[in-house]
Amino acid sequence: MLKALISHRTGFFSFLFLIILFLSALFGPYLYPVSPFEIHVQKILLPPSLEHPLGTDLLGRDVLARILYGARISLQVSFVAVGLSLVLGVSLGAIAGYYGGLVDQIICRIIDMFLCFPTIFLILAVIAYLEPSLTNIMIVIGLTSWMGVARLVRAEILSLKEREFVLSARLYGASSARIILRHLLPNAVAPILVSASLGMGHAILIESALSFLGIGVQPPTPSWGNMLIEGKETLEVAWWLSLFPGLAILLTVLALTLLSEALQDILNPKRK
Amino acid sequence: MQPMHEDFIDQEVISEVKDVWKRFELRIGIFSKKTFYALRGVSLKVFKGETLAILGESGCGKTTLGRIFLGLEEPSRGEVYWFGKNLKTLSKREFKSLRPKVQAVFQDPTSSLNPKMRIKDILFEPLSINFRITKEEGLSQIGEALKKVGLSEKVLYCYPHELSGGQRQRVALARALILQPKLLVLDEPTSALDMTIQKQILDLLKELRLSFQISYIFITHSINTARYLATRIAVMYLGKIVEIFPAQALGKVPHHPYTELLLSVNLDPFNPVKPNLSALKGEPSLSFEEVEGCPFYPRCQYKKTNCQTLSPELVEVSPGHFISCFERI
Repeated sequence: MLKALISHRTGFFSFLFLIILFLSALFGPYLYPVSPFEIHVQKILLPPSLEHPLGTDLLGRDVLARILYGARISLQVSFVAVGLSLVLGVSLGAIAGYYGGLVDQIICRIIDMFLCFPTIFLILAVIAYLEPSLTNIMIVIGLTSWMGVARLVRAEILSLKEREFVLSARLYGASSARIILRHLLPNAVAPILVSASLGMGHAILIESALSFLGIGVQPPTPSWGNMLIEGKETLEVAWWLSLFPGLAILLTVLALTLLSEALQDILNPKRK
Repeated sequence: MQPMHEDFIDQEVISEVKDVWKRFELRIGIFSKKTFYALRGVSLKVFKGETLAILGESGCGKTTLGRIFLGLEEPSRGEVYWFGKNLKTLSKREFKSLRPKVQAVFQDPTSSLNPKMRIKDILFEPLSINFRITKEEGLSQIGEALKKVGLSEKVLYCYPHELSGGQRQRVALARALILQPKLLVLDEPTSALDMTIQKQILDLLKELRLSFQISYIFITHSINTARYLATRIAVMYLGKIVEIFPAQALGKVPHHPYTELLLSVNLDPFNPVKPNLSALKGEPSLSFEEVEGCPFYPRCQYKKTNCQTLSPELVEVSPGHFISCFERI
């Protein structure tokens, strides 16, 4: 699969970008040892220069350092939220698809119910009620984004369970749990991967939107979303404050979307 | 009453279905439902060591009957017996202990092997579920099973897509045999294969049956493969068995009109009966309702008026030869 990804042009570049992003979020603070929190009153709103490659903000903090630190936050949010939505979506979807009947009906109605709420307002309401901590944000995004995965997995399981290798497994006495875990889900990995990478982009966008609205990650902790809003007021004099976090969001989400498209190409045998 | 065929080994009944009906409900629109009968009162015994071919065109219920024999589907009415035990009254534990003895090989070798598992794991899983077994014992049994079906141990670390269709079907066969079954349901095991491979698989099946005394239920739509492999043939039409006869008698005795039709349209150069394509008339009506009278009535060339209202029973016309037709009794 990795081989196929490397020979797929857009897939390769988006994968490469994400790897670099991931590594710089992980090791950035060591390679670029500038504090994202340190305030320098005499260095307010400096444009990009050699000393500060992406400039400084209203409090004289280095923008590059803050973007690197924000990458950690944004990636963390997207990983945990997508992880949660995968756990929920895959297990509920697999149960609905495999058992069918009443169980399926109930799970499908729950999915419909969740889909009825406009997601962003649901999140707004929950976050306004709870406190806007990083953990709460990750959990709420996860809880509101599992429905697509569940539907996808359910449909996949529905078609897979009629295949003859599943009948054979039942014939030699495999339990339902074994059939789902060993025979059905491994064959449904492709669409799950695709929707996971799409979901990560989505999670980053939601987190940015929440931060933009002021109920996301709280300052002074930088996230791409709240850096964007901080730059809004000084957009006319200091364009770099909004441009760079905005670019970071754009490129990351774009890379994730392109990666999911590439995965779709690679994992679908009919398109080969 | 002595059956006519040579290698009929035993009268011991391995499996039996008694007056089995299978009903499917088709939902049409919101309020209306249509009931579809895949099986309408089928009774059939499988004896030890025999190959019972179930012959019929697509949609006649032969696959459903196979699945009922396998215990994969429950009949809507009627009983299924394995080794003299009624499946309905069997405890979970007893069922589990009998489960490995009734196995199957399906039509499409591509879909019958999990594409994400290596051959080694495909063959090891049935063993590890049914028997307490170590990896080494398992591997030696897997090696034996591969030898039985004529595959080398090279395939152990392959994935199914790396094998040819014939090889895959051999793996599927090995997976069934590794549990030492007494009854093997073969659901059109050769119809997805090339002609040359078909012959190889059929020969292999013949050989395995004789050396391990397995009974086969051989589900097929091809009268030629049935003739080649079977010791007894049951002909199905629209969910009913219309004729049962020893395979040797095929073409030599007066048959049910439907079997006659099958024989007459069979394009086999060695066929004793000349192909007569003019006999091919009409299509089977879908058995949406409990049809009264003979199911074959609309297509039959001998039909009489009472065929439409009275349903003929299976009657033994000569030893081991049962026909359900008023014309032939």
